[in-house]
Amino acid sequence: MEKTADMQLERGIQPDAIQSGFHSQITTYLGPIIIIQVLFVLLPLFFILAYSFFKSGPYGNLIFEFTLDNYRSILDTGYAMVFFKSMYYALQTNLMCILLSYPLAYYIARYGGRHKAFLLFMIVIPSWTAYIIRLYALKTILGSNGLINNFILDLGLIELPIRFLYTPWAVSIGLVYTWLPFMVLPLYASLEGLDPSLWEAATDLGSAPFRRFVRITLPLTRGGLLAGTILVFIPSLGDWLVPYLLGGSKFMMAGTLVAHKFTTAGDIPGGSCLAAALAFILLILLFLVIKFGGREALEQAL
Amino acid sequence: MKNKWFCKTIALGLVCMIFSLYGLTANAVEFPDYSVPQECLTQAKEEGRLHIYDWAEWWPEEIYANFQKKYGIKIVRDNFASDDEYIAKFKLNPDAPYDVTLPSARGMIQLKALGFLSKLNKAWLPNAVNYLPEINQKLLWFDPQSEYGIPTDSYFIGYAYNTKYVDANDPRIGSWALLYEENKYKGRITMLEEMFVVIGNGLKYLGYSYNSDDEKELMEVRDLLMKQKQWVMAYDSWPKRLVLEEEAWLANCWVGDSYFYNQELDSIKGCLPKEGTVFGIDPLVIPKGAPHPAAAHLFINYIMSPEVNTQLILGIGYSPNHKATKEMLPESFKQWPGVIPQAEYLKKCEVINEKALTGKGLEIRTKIWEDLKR
Repeated sequence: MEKTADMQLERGIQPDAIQSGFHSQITTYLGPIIIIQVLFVLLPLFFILAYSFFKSGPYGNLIFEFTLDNYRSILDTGYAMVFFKSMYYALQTNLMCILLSYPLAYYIARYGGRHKAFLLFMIVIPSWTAYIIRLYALKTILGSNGLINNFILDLGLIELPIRFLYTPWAVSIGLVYTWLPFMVLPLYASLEGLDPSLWEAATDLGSAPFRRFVRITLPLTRGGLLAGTILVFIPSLGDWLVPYLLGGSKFMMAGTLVAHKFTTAGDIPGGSCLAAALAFILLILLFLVIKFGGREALEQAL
Repeated sequence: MKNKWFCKTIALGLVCMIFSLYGLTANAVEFPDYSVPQECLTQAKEEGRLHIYDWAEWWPEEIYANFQKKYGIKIVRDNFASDDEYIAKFKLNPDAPYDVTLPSARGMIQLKALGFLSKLNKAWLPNAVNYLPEINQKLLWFDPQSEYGIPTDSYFIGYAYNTKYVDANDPRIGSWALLYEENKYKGRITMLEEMFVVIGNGLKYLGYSYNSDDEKELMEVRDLLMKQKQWVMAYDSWPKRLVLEEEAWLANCWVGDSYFYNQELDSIKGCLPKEGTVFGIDPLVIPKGAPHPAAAHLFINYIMSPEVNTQLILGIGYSPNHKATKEMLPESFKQWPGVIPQAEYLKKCEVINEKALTGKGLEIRTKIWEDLKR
């Protein structure tokens, strides 16, 4: 996302101006956010990293001695399965989010007209309620006595309520529901930035709607897709509240495993170690996304 | 002669009142509310604040409000939602500036083992004489003399079942078998989201010790739990909604909680399994380096005054540890399983100990839990 800020600056300001006043401007604009990032993001991360090299005493107290045993033990035990499962869920969430939000964002950007602001507002507004409260609301909707089941029961389609809650389905639904706005907004931004004359030109040259979409719209909104992917994939990989509340905590995602290590197992170094491993994997993924097509696509998106 | 009757009724009413007053005072004489020494009170007033770290949404709010009103000391509360959260907080920051905290037995054992608790000043806790000593000495191995913590209540873990759906003739009612054995309530069972409880009660069901660290026994429990998982609806520590909406028919819970489920839905009954269960306490403890120790003692003494303790126990539904409270509770409440435990049943119960909390016992338990949740 920082990239987009840069690009905006570059666009508005002439190259000479960038040369001279760029650095001082950056510091004044980004100074406060850098301080916040360092204090509340980097420093805790550093603590986690440091903890992961310590030993754990009999009652789980920290012993400040350097060791690599924690890393060795996470490689031995079958935590890879948990990680893969989380990746699978995150990927699934991501794809579902793309499938759902592409038409939505497309509709708003192209046909929203004067209702655009209102429609976007409607997408953002659920996020004003706390995440956990929305999940509880979803619980009410999905339950055997819930909205969906009562509706289908009243229609007479089924005799007994279908169990949604506490199944992997509920987890998928919950994850998609939670992270959907984060996909819609970047996609909307990139679709909004598309020049309609490109479509006109394509139509004039005899391109069918599908071909037009595949050859023009999709490549040009790749940036939005990737930005949305970064915003959806990473948080859903670390999510633990959804499997806990909607999945009946019958299985672990990577985030749950880290929480379990920290609390129930009382193994703070072990938990830190898993957290560090997770962060490392995410960094690699992020790097790959940006390296292969990300940078260029992000630029194009603006 | 209407007037005469009127007078007689009044007189009778007065006599009744006097008798009932006498009844109250008789109780009060037996279990008076001792106030703390002047020295403690003065110091507490000087401190003026009290930092409490306790469970979210558990104790009735009036208890805190009344304390603030009575002594003019401002209470600042921080909450946690599980023992694990509580322990992790102190492990990461032993100097967390709290005056009074309310862990469960497990939290207290760990904090005491780590040396994070300070000794109570019994001279400042005159109400502490009214504890039920027999429980303390026999079961509470980690603090038999209540030197570090005053147990406000005791709890048992059992289960709640809905008589509308659970066959009353099922011979397994009253045993852990109803939860751990295959039955027709598939998909209608919730278990607590507590590693030690779910594994420990499985051990109890198989006839082993709650705190076993024997690999063979624990592996047997592992198989049991893996099999059980397919008919468990959810692992949830607060199954209240599921129980009241009749989604869950069998819910592993603190027996005290089932009393409140019953208040809202008649068909729900609580059960203490005959194989025995885990017994625990919720002690009030003072961490080392508490900034307002006098206010902390004042608060603990206040909680242990007969009236406040009764109010508390009625508000949470757990078993009282205070002699006066035992007398003052209404009969209907005392009948609920686990409120006034029988001495014989207590013999079958165990308190968690270091065999489960450390070393091999903990390691295998963690492994089982991770496998179970995979």
